[in-house]
Order: sequence, then structure tokens, then C-alpha cells
Amino acid sequence: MKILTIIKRVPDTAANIKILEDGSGIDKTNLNYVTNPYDEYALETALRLKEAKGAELEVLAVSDNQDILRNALAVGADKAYMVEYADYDKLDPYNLSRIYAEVIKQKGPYDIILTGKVTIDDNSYAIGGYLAAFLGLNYVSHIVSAQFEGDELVVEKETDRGSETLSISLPAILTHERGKYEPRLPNLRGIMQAKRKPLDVLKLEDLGITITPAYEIIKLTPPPKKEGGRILESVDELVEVLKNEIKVI
Amino acid sequence: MAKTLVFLEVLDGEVRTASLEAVGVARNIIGGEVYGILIGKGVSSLKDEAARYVDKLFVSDSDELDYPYPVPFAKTIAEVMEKEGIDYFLISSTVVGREIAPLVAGLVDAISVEEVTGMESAEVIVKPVVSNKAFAHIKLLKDKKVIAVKPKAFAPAQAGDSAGEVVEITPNTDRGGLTVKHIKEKEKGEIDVTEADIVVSGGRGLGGPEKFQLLRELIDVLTQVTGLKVALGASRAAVDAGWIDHSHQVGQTGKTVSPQIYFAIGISGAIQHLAGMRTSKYIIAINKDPEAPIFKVADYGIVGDLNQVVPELIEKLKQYKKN
Ligand SMILES: Cc1cc2nc3c(=O)[nH]c(=O)nc-3n(C[C@H](O)[C@H](O)[C@H](O)COP(=O)(O)OP(=O)(O)OC[C@H]3O[C@@H](n4cnc5c(N)ncnc54)[C@H](O)[C@@H]3O)c2cc1C
Repeated sequence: MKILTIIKRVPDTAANIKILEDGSGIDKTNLNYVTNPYDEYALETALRLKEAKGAELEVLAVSDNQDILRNALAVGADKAYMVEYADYDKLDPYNLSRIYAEVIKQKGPYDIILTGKVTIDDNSYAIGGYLAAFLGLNYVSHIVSAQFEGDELVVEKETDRGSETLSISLPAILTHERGKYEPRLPNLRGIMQAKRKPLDVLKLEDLGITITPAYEIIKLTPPPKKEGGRILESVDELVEVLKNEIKVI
Repeated sequence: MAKTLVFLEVLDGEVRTASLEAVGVARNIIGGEVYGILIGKGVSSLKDEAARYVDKLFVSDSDELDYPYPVPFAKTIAEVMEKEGIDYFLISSTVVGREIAPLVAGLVDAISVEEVTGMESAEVIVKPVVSNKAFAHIKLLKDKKVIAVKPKAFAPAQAGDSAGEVVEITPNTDRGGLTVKHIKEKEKGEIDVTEADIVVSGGRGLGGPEKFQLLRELIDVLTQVTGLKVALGASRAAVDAGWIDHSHQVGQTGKTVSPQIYFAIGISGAIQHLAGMRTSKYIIAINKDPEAPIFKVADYGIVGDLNQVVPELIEKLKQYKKN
């Protein structure tokens, strides 16, 4: 069995994010980069499935930096692919998915592909659905866990309807919500081992892909500024605010 | 002239308001012909009502589709789009919507954008990015466009006087390898945080699961006095403590909400929590620590013990209702 986890290198949004004066992007000086948090949950589930089935686990990223792939190898992935692309952070989800799909066609087939439900940099939920369509895979999104019951892959998801337990036949792509278990951290031994694990660097030319942008980010604007808040002295005052200022009662 | 197809999502036997908001976007911003599509078991019963919102309504009712299976839903939608020459597909950015949108986009070779909160024109959308710390204004360059609009960001369409034509279509019933084993339904009548006009959220400051009952009381009385949809939210600390289900979590790894009013009760205002609620119209914080970061983003704050403030607020709102 072969499993693939797709991960993305994103700015650490817990840090202070500044928009450039001209709105052309975010200020990259002193920016920290991390693995997209939902991809970390996807990776954790992939590791658990690998352990349960003795499967092989590969990871894939389009990036200009190997750091997040080395991390994934350090926590237990067996092999990594990096499609080297300097402007990876400007790729729209349509083209990013085309690249992933091509790698999967050339390096697969995979029984299970896992990735985060959303990438927090561009706030896109599109990767899973695109790959399901491009590759004709079975598909379920927003899962919180996945495990084998015998040979059946059973996933749980939480939706507006409630908690759902589904089974999905393979090959399938699953996108991960915040998981039921926290992603593991690399230990020293893992980090040492990761240095000897294979990490193949691919180029767009080798994949035979040319990019025609599917969208263009015209500008970034800051969220509407909040005016200075007001501390109220009593609950009576709050009721007055609800009545006269917010006007909901 | 543009042609738009809008997916009308059904939840608890009704077309979701969020879907009518998507119809509103099609009508008011994209213009042209607006079609709707209802898919699923038993949706025929909603067709007369739904047809009043659109120029043409496609109905695909099948006992096989007793769950929103993404593959057959998307294939049915893609077939209608190809047959009718439709350029825009709109859906609300709910769990179901975000699942189906990119699948449809992949099938019809469209660009898919989700969580859309604004539209400058039929080609330029606006959506929050980098954990809500910026809004991206994005020009969509592909001929076909799939747009998932965030609930509550746009005004819902109003029903017209006359109903659009209803076209029954044969559903695709290949479930795409998915089998439903079990669904534990939410408590009836509980409103999802993303769809609420008012969200009342509790954090670690509540001190235990039983205090969520107090928030539920506040929700009941707010529902009565405002007539609005009020939902229960939570911080991750409260979810991690096991006091409340994850479906209530607001924040970076929970849901993103922008209601008219957001009550943050016993929540410190960590950056990951703010990521999910800072675009709320009014933020009201109740916290005993005057230095809590939540007060920096709150429009109104009360510094005090929630165990006193919340019961008093419930009492005062009850009195208000009587008068
Ligand atoms: C990758 C990542 C993702 C995350 N995602 C999320 C997310 O999606 N959502 C989220 O919420 N968090 C998220 N977090 C966690 C976040 O960093 C905070 O830990 C969390 O939001 C804190 O929750 P809290 O405000 O309830 O608890 P605390 O920070 O402990 O705050 C409790 C507050 O209650 C107040 N209080 C205590 N007693 C009372 C009382 N009697 N009356 C009034 N006030 C009282 C205290 O003054 C304090 O301000 C994430 C963290 C990480 C690292």
C-alpha cells in the first residue's frame, strides 16, 4: 500500500502579518514559515495508517525550500518529492492542483492521498476536489480521523448535520479538518534519519507543465479597522448598547 | 449574457438561507439568467418554493442520494452546466459547499474560490486570506468560475411573484465509493455558528462544562428578544478540555464567523481565536482580566466575573422582554 501526503509551506499566521504599503503582497521580512497546520493533521493520520498497514508513506510539496519535507521525513515519512518553484506562494489552486496531479500520475499510483482541508495562506479549500476530479479518485473532505477496520477505510467527519462515520473505497483522496489527535513532533533520532531518506527534486519542465494563471491577485487590503472599544460599567449599560447602538432589541 | 447555476443546499428539510444568499449574488452582482439545482432524496417537495427564487430549477430527486455524496452531486451539476452552457456555479461555503465546489470546478475546468465575502464585479471576488489578516481582491481569469460564498456575507434573494420553470433531471447515483455507516445528528434546532446572526462563545474562563448551560440560557433569551438566529461558540481551550464539541470551535482550526454580534465570554483573545471572529460586526467581551487581549478588538467590554455578569444579563433581558 502506498500513501501520499501533500503539504504546503505557509507563513506562520500566528505571527504579525503586515501587508505591503502598495497592497502587492505581505511583507516577507522576518516572516516565519511552517507546514500548513491542516496538512500536519493529514500527515499524522497518514502516519497512523502507515503504521497500521505497514504502508509506504511519501510526501509532496511545491516549494523553494526543503524544510517542511525534511520535517515530514523526520516524523516518519519514507520519501519526499519537492517540485522546485520559486513563486509557489503565488500559484492559484487550479494550477497547484495540476502540478500535484502530474506528480501523482508519474510517481503513483497511491491508494490514499491525504492533505489539509484548507491552506491557511490563500484560504483555499480546493486541492482535494480538484485532485478527485483530475484523477478520478473517490473523495471525502473535512475528516477528523481515518482508520482501517479490516480492509475498510473508515473516516469520521463533523459537519453542520452532526458527526458522521463513513467508509470509502480506495483509491481515495481525503482532506483533513483539525484532527482528533495532535500531530507528533520530530525527535533527534528522526531528524538524523531524515537526512538519509530520499528527497527527489523535480522541475516543472520535467513534469511537462506550463502555467497559465487561473486567477490574479490584484491587491491585498487590511481587514476593516476596529475603532477603540469601550469598557461598559454595568450590565444595564450593555442592555442600553444593545438597544440604542447595535439596535437588536 | 451570463448564466449562473446555484446549488440549493437542503438542511433539516429546508433550503439553507446561505444558498439564498448565493442566489442573491447571482441576481444582484453577476446578473443574467439564474438557475437553481436541488439534489437529494425527497427534494421534490421543496421545488415549488425553491422555483420562486430562480428562472429555472433543476430537480434531481433520488432515494439513492440520502446523503450529500460529493461525487454524484458534482457530476450531476457538471452535466447540467455543460448541457446548458453555464459559466458560473455558485454554492454557499458550508462544509458541503466547500466539498462540492472544487470537484465541480475540476470537472468543468473552472477556477474555484471558496469563502468569498465580497464581489467587486462578476470577475473580481474578495475573500479573507492569511488567517483573516488580509483581504485578497482576486480577478478570476478562467471562462468558467466556481464561487463558494461565505454564509452571512451577502443579502439573501427574495422570492419572486412567479415561479421559474421546473426541470426534472435523472440523477447520477454512483456514490463514488462512499458509504454512510452512521450519523449522530446534532441536537435539533441548534444553529451552526457560521449561520448565526449572534454568536455567544465561551472559553476556559467558564471553568467547566456545566457553565455552557448558562450560555445556552443567554442564547434562549437573546433569541426571544431579538428574533435573530443565535448560536453557541467556543474557544479551543474549552473544546480541548472536552467541555463542548469541536463543531462549536471558532478560530484558526475551527470555524470562521462574521455575525452581527459576537459575545466572547471568558475568552482571552488569542491570535488563533481572533482569526475566526475578528470580522464580526460588533464584538462584546466579558472577561475578569482588564488586560485580556480580547478587549483590544472588542467594541464593547465588561470587566467582571462572568458568573455574575451573565446571569444578570439574562435577568435584565428577560425584564426587557416583559416591558
Ligand atoms: C496551531 C494552533 C491553532 C489554534 N486554533 C485555535 C482555534 O481555532 N480557536 C481557538 O479558540 N484557539 C485556538 N488555538 C489556541 C489559542 O492559542 C488559545 O490557547 C485559546 O484560544 C485559549 O482559549 P481561551 O481564551 O478560552 O482560554 P485562556 O487563554 O485560558 O483564557 C481564559 C480567559 O478567561 C478569563 N476568565 C477566567 N475566569 C473568568 C471569570 N470567572 N469571568 C470572566 N472571565 C474569566 C481569563 O481572564 C482569560 O482571559 C490554537 C493554537 C494553535 C497553536
